[in-house]
Amino acid sequence: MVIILGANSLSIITTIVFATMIWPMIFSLVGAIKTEKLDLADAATIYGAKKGFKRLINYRLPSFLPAFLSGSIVAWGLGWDAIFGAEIIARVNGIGGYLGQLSYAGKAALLFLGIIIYLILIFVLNQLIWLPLLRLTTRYQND
Amino acid sequence: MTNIEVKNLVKYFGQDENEVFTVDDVSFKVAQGEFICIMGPSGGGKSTILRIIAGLEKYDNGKITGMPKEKGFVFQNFALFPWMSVKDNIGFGLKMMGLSKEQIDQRVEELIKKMGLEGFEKAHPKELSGGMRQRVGIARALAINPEVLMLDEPFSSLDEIIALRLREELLKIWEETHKTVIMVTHSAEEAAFLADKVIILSKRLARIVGIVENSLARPRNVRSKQFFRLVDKISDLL
Repeated sequence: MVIILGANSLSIITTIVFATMIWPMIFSLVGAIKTEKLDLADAATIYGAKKGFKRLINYRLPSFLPAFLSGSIVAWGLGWDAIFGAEIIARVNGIGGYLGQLSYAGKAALLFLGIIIYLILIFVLNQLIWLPLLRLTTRYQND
Repeated sequence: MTNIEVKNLVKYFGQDENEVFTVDDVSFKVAQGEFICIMGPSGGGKSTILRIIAGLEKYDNGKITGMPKEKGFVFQNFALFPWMSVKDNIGFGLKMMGLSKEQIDQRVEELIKKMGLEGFEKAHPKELSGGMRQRVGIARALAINPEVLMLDEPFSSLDEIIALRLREELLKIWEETHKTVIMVTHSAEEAAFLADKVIILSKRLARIVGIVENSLARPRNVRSKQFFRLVDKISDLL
């Protein structure tokens, strides 16, 4: 990706973040496919969602949604880490880059405050986006 | 409307030299409107036979004729779609057939009444008890108005009281609609109570060891001598 986009800071960040976030997504989807409930697949077949687009929309996508979501949450968390690091490496502005500069400059109090703000931001986004989504899908999962 | 005929059905399991029969030369007929039970020891391939007839599994040899396109299938573990409400689960088959929303709603409404699911329309399968889930499973199967209703040990994962009640309700539905019913069970009593004909399979590889015609008059008294005699006869063959 760096080769395609050129060695600018944006491409470095995108590459690092993408490379970190893709794995949890892939693994959770692989897990979902491996633990697929066979009788649900049979029910979908019997009642007409046999193949193609119809099966995808009515059976595959909704049945993989919970796994997709939990994969997304892990990916999102790792993404935070990655973007933080990537900004420092690429020396650009952003939360990570800014905190990196503070740390180089030895401004401990400001750095501490920045980390707190960073944590609050993550916490609020989790509360507003991910937890409601997670609650929604656990209701739709089989026990 | 035709009779279903299964002729010399063979299915292997495994590959090449390690091939083992799971279904070995099974033949039987199901008349239209008949209630058939398939019985056998667990792991004996009785579910496999049902799944083959339903078109869910391939077979290696033999012939199945007279199977209609629309069939209802009730699963042992319900197999309800967890992301759908009770209403949407029941209407799933109709939706796939491309019916209009009004038509689906009307039919689903009927079935909700018939299966005693009023008030649970918007609930999700997770929020229901086992008995209620299987009611939804049966309603989903009946919704498409199939000629053949297939049930794979539908009451084995329910407690005894609920199972007895659902068994009676199933019989009532059959008497009202006279659909062809093919049901897999491992309970001799269940088969004696429900079926017109009981097909009994052997241990391990599924081979028919006996077909018991059940001509007891309905409603059947489960405490009568004839009933016990029939249960014994089925159990002896098993």
